[in-house]
Amino acid sequence: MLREYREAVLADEDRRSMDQARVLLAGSFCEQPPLGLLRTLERAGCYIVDDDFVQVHRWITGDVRADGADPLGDLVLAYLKQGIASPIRYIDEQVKGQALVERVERSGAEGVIFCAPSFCDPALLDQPMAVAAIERAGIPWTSFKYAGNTGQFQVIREQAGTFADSIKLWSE
Amino acid sequence: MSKQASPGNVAAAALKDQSQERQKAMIAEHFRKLAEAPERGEKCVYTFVPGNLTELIDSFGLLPVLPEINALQSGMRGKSRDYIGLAEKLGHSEDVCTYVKCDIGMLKSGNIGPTGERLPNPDLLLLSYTGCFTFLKWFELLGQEYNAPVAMLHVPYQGDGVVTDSMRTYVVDQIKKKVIPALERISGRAYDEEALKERLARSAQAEEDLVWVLESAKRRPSPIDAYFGGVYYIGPIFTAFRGTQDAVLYYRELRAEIEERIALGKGPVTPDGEIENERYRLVVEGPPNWTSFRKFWQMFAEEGAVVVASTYTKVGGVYDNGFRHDPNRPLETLADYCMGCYTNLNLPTRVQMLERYVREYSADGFLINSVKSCNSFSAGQLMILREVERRTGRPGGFIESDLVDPRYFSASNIKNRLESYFQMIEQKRAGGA
Ligand code: SF4
Repeated sequence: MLREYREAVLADEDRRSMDQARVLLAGSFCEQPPLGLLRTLERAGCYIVDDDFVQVHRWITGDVRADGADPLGDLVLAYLKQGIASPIRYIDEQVKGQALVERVERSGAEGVIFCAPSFCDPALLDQPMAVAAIERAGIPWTSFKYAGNTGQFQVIREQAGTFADSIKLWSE
Repeated sequence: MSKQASPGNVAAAALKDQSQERQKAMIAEHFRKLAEAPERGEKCVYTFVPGNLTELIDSFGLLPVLPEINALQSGMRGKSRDYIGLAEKLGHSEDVCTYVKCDIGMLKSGNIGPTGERLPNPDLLLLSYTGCFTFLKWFELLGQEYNAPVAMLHVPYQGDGVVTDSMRTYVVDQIKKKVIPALERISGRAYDEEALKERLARSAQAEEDLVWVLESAKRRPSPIDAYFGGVYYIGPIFTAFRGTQDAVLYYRELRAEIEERIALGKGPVTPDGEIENERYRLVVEGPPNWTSFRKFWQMFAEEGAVVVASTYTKVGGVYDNGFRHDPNRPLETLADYCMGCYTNLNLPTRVQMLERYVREYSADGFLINSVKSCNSFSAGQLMILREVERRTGRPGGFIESDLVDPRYFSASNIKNRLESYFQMIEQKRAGGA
C-alpha cells in the first residue's frame, strides 16, 4: 500500500515540494502524538523526515536469526542486542545521543525537534544528554512538550515556525 | 483549632537525646571522611537509598554517597530553589523529579554537601535499579558529568507481588558478575565474604530495634510520629550506616528512649514540643516535603494529629513484614532486600500494606501526600486512595506538594485541605462510623 502511495505521489505532477525545513522529531517514542500536533508542525514549515513514534513496533533493528537451534534464545538476543537506542533502554558503554546524531545524518534532517509528552520521565530526563550530543554535532534543535488531551498547539506552532524559519534562513 | 503541642523545652530536651546526638555525630564524621577522601586516597561509590548495598560497599572499605539524601538536605537548608533553577536553566525539564535537578544544580555549584564540605567525585556509580526509572537516567546524567563508570544492578520489579527463585538468582548473578568485580576494581581488594557476613549480622540487629520502634506506634498514645519523626529514625539504616556498630548502638539507644516515653505515657516529640493530646491517628503515603518540613509537621502537631505509620519510611527497606538481612545467605539476602524496597512493590501490594497499617495501628484515616514530579510514588495514588478507603471504611485525604521544589509547597492550600480532612474524620466519628 505504501509503495502504491509513493508511486502515486511521484506521478502527481501538480505536487511540488515546498520550502520546508527537514526535521527529525524525537521524544514521543511510546506513543503516536496527536495528529493535530503533526499537522501543526507541518503547517509551521516543517517536514518530518524521521521520528520515533510508537517505537515498540520497530524495536529490533535488522532480522532476528531464523535458522538457529534456539529460536526463543535468538529472539531474546535480538531484543537485547539489536534493540534501538531508545531513552527507555539502559545501554552499557553507549555514547549518549550518538544514535540520534546518526539518524539525523541518515535522514538528511536539518534540525531536531524534541517533542515529549508532559511528565514523560524517560524522554525528559534523557533530553539534556541528547541535546548535548546534538549541539556537539552542530545540529540546530528546539524543544517543547505537549499534553496529549488539549488540542491546543498555537504556542507550538509559533515556536516550530520560528525554528523552521531560522533553519531556512541560516543554514548553508 | 487547639494547640496541642507544649512549647520549647521538651523539644530542646529531645534534641539532647543520646540517639540524636549519636546520629548527628555519625553524619558529621561520614561527611568529614568524604571531604577528606580524595586526599587520603579513599574511594567512594554513589548509590541510591532503595536497594543500597551498604554492607557490601563497606566490606570493601569504600564510602557510600547517596544523592537523594544530599538533595533532601539541600531542600531543608534552603538551597534547593537555586539548585533547581540552575538545572532548569541548563535544560532540565520542569516536569521531572526535583531530586535530580537539585543534585545536578548542587554539582554545578561546586558539589558542596550538607555539612558545607565538598563531596568527592564518584569512583563508581552503583545503579541499583529498584522500581524507579528515574534512577537509571539520574546515573546516566551523572556518568556524563563525572565521566565515572556505572555498574548496573537490575532488580526485577515485583510485578506479581512475589519474589521467585529465578528473580533472586538473577540478582545474585549480577552481584557476583557485575557489582563485586566493579567494587574489587576500584578498591583494589578482593571480595571478603566473612567481612560481609559480619556487617549483615549487625544490620539484622539494628533492623530488629528499628521495627520495634516503628511498631511502638500501635500503642495509644503513640510515643512516636512515624512519618515526620520517622524520617529521623530511618536515617542511619537507610543511608551510610547499615551494618555498622554505630547503627546498632543508635537503634539500641533509640529503643531505650522510646521505652522510657512509653513508661511515662508520653506522646511524640514535635518541633514545638510534645503532643499531649493525641486527637487523630493517621497513616501517610508518599514522601514528605523537605523545604517546609517543619511547617508541614506543625500543621499536623497543632491539630493533635499523629502519624502512626507511613510508607515513606519503607522506601529504603521494608522490615516490618519480617524481613531481616541474613548473614547465612549473604548475597541472596541482599537480593531479597533490594526486591523488597517499597519503590519495587506493585500497586496491589502497596494497597495491602496501607490497609494493614490502617487496621493494625487503629488509624482514623490515611492521607496521601502526592508529589507529581515523583512518578514512582504518585502513579496510581488515586486508585490507592479509593481502594484503601473501600477496604477499611476510613476516610482518605489527598494533599499535594513537592520534595525539594519550594514553588510547589502552598502552605495555605495544604492547611485548608488538612483542616477539612480533620473535620471529615470528626463527622465520621459523630456519625458513629
Ligand atoms: S522515587 Fe521519586 S523522588 Fe526518588 S528518584 Fe524516583 S522519582 Fe525521584
